[in-house]
Amino acid sequence: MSPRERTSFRAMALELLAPCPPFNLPGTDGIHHSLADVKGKLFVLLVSCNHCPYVIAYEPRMVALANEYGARGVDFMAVNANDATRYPDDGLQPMKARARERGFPFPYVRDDSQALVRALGARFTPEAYLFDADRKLRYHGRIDDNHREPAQITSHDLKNALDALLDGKDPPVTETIAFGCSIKWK
Amino acid sequence: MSDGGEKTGDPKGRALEKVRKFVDTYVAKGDYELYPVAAVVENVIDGLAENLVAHGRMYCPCADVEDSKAKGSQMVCPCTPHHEDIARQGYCDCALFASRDFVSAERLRKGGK
Repeated sequence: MSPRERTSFRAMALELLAPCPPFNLPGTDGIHHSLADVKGKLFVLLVSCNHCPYVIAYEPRMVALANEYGARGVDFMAVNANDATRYPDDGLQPMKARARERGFPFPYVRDDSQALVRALGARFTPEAYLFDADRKLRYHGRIDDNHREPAQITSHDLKNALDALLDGKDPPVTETIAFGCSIKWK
Repeated sequence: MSDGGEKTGDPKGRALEKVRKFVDTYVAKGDYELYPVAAVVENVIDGLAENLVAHGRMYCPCADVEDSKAKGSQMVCPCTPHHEDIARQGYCDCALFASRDFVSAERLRKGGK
């Protein structure tokens, strides 16, 4: 087993109420984005990528959520950490094209070192992390329970958590199992 | 486990039976175990069955099907890169199959929580 493999085995999921790991990462908009730049009441960090079919299915929902909750003071950001050497479609230039094509209303940043996604303990794309005003983790997991058929969603997990926190309540569910493509580790 | 596909003639049910049988057989060979989160495994099995119904082959649900078709059998489960992926990160890119070391480490991690 390689040292890198051992490291990935040890990756621990960020615990509930743990602080958001700091970051300062280049975005498709040509500027760096740091945790200090996040000013919203709540902060949704979506571990994403360009080429995963699950992400592609979820992108319209990610955009809709960001538009709906952005108007209510929630900041969204998507981060792509996939190894762009093995998956060139996940490099910064293709990310710029994707952000343009899809009209992302949120920063789409590149975590080339994979430090942020390792600190999050993320494993899949898409995988959602919701932080409160103190940037403590309040929900982690899937966006909802049906990537294939939005009409057949029975549990809007991220949306439910957002609604609860915006109402000053605890999320009804704080952790779900994310599913999708695995992050392409270096 | 039967999904009743043979009895009902339901294509998805038949595909699920076929995929489950393949997965059971492959794991029984002993090289790898299933990824240690049942919900994730079920989701991959469902994706494989969907692709079997829609495209006639068990294309990896974590890869673009049209790209996979262009690669012949390379991205049909068990895909060509799964050995390399499991050696590198402990599990295949769809998170269906995993190494014994990875599964043991995950059990220890969860047990230690």
